[in-house]
Amino acid sequence: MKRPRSVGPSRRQVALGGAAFCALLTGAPGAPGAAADLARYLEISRRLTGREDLDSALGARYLEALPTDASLDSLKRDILLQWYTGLTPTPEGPRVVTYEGALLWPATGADQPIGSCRGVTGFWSEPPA
Amino acid sequence: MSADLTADVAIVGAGVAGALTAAKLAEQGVDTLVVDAGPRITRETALETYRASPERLLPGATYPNARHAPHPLLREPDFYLVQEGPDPFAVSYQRIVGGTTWHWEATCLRMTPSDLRLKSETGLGADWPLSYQELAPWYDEAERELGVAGDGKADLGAPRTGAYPMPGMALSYMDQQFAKALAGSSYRLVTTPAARNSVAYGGRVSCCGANSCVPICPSGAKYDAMIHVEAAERAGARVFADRVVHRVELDPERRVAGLAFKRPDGSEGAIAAKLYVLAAHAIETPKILLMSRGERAPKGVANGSGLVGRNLMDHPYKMSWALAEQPQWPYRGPMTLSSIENTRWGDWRSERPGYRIAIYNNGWAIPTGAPIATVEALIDQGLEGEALARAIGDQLSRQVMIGAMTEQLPDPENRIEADFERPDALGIPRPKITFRFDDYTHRGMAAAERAHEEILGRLGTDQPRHTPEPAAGNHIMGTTRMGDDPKTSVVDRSLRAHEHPNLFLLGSGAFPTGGTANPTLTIAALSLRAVAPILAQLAD
Repeated sequence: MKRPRSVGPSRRQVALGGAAFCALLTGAPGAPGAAADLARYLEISRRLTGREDLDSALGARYLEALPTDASLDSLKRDILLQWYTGLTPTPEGPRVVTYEGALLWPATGADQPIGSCRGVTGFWSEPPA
Repeated sequence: MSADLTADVAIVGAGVAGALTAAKLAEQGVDTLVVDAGPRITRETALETYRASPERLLPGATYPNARHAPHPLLREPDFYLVQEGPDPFAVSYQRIVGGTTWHWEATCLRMTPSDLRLKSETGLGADWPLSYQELAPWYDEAERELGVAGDGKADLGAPRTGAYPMPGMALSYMDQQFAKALAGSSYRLVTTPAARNSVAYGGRVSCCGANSCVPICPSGAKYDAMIHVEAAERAGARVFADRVVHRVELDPERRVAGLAFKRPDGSEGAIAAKLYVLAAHAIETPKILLMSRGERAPKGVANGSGLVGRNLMDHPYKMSWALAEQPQWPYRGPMTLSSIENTRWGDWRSERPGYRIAIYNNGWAIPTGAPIATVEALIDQGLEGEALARAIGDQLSRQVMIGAMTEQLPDPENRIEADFERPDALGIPRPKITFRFDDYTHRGMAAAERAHEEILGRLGTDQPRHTPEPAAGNHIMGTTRMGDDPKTSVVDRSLRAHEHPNLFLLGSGAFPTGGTANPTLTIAALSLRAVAPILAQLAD
C-alpha cells in the first residue's frame, strides 16, 4: 500500500506562509518556525470550530498530517474534518490521527467513542443527560 | 501418507461450528485437533486495528486479510471472490481463528416450524429433514452454550419452553419510541434474542454499550467462537492457525484417509485422523470438496449428487433510513435490540418471502458510513463554528435505520465453484460465484420497502431513503444441502456426508432453505446435534 503523502517541515513552512492560510488568518504576523505554525493552526482551528478548548498537542499532530497543496476551501474542510473525526484526508484516502480525541463522540450521546465501553448495561434506555 | 498432524478427530475451521464441536468432543475425552486457514488474533490487537483504521465501520477492516487466507471485502466484491454474476454476491466473512463470529451482530433467532416446511406449505424451495420438535432441544442447548439473552414471553413464532439463559436486554430509548409508535399497528415490536450478556454470564461481563457489535465487541460481552476455541483447548484439544486445507484424500473404500494443507510459506503438510469434520463455512467447505476431485471422486468429494456448491443463498437485505422528527438518541447501546418478527410467516409466503425487520441502534452507520459521513456532509454544506456543532448534534440524534432480512429461495444455478483458472497467492483456487436474485426476492424487497414506509411514517420521519438493490445479508447458506435422499442432498440429518461415513460437514451449508432466522443459532444447534453421531462413528 502506498504511504500517505508526507508533509515535511520545509513544505509545511511554505504552505503556512502561503496565500491560503494568510487569507484564513488575516493580519496574523508571519513569524517563522514550528511554534508559530502551530499557534496559527490553532487560531484558525478555534475560529473554524467556534471552540476555545482545543487540545494543542492534538493540534500539532493534525498540523503535521495536514495536506499542504490544498486550496483555501479544502484547507478549511480538512481542518474541520480533522477536529471532528480525528481523520486527515489524503489523496490515498483518510488517515487516522486520533481515535478517542475526535470531537464528534459527545454528539453520539456518550463521551466515550463508539467502539469503547460507553456506560453501564442499560444506560441506553434513557436519553443522554 | 506420513502425517504432520494426527488425532482421532480433525476439524477444519475454528468458527462457531468447529470450535463448539471441538469443545464437546474434547470434553468427552476425544483426541481432537482443529486447523484454521487464517491467523489467530487477540481482542486487543483487533481493537488496535479497528481504532487505527479509517474504514473502521467496515467489518473486514478490523481483521487481518492474510495473503495465505484472503477474505472477501464488501467494498471490492471482486477481491478474492470471482463474481460470475449476473448479480453481485458482495458478502463478507472472515478466515481467522474464531471465524466470522468476531464481527457478528449476535442475533439468536430460531427457525420457525414453517421455515423448516417451506415446500409442504408453499410448494416452493425444500423441506428440512428435521422437524422443529427434533431441533428444539438442540436450540435450548445452543442458547445455553452461546449465552442468549431474551424475553421468554415474546412470540417469535418458534415455541420454546422455559426462560432464556439471561433476561432480555433493556431496550433503547429509540426502541421504546418505535414500540409506542407501532401500538395498534400490525407490527409487533419485540426484544430480539441475542448472544450478548445482559448480566454477567459464562465468566464474561455484561454489555457496556460500545455500539460496535459489528465489527468488534470491546468487552467480550458478546459471544464469539473464541469462547469455545478456548474451552476446547482447556479440555485438551489442539488448535492450529495458518493451515490452509485444500484437499480431502479418499482411500480405496472411499473413506476419508487424510487432509492436505499448505502453510503460509507454501509448504505442504498432511493431517491423519479417524474422522474428519469440515466446518469452514458455506463457501470454503464446498470449495475444498470440489477441489478434491480425482479418480475416486470425479465430481469432487461427497458430490455424487452434484449438489456440492449449489443452492447458494443469502438473506437479501433492504435497508431504509430517515431523520426522525424528534431526537431518538441512536449510537447508544448494542447495535440492535428490538425487531419485528411477526412478518416472518403468513399465507402470502407462496407469493413473496417472509422477512424480519430489525430496528438499528447505530443511526445511519451501515447504509451511509455515519457518524463520520454525516460530519463530512455537513462540513461540505459550508457549515462551521457553532452552527456546525449544532447541526452535527441535531442530525446524529435523529438518525433512524431499519433493515429487513428476506428469505431467498434455493436455486441450484446459484452456486460456488472452485476456480482453478484463478488461484490465490498460494495457488489454491478462488471461489467462483454465480448468483442471481429472482422475482421472489424482488417482491420481498418491494414488500419490505412498503412495510418500512409505514413503520417510519408511524414514528414520524422525513421521506425515507431505501437501498435500491438487494443488499448482502452476509448469511451464506445452502451449499452442502442436508436431506434423507443421497440423490438430492449432500449430508444426512446428522450432517454426515452420504458417501463417506467418516466425513461430517458442519455449518449453514447444510440448510435446505434459508428460512427467516439469522443462521448462527441453527448452525450451533445442528453442530451440537452432530456430536453424538460423531462419537458413535468413532466407536464403530
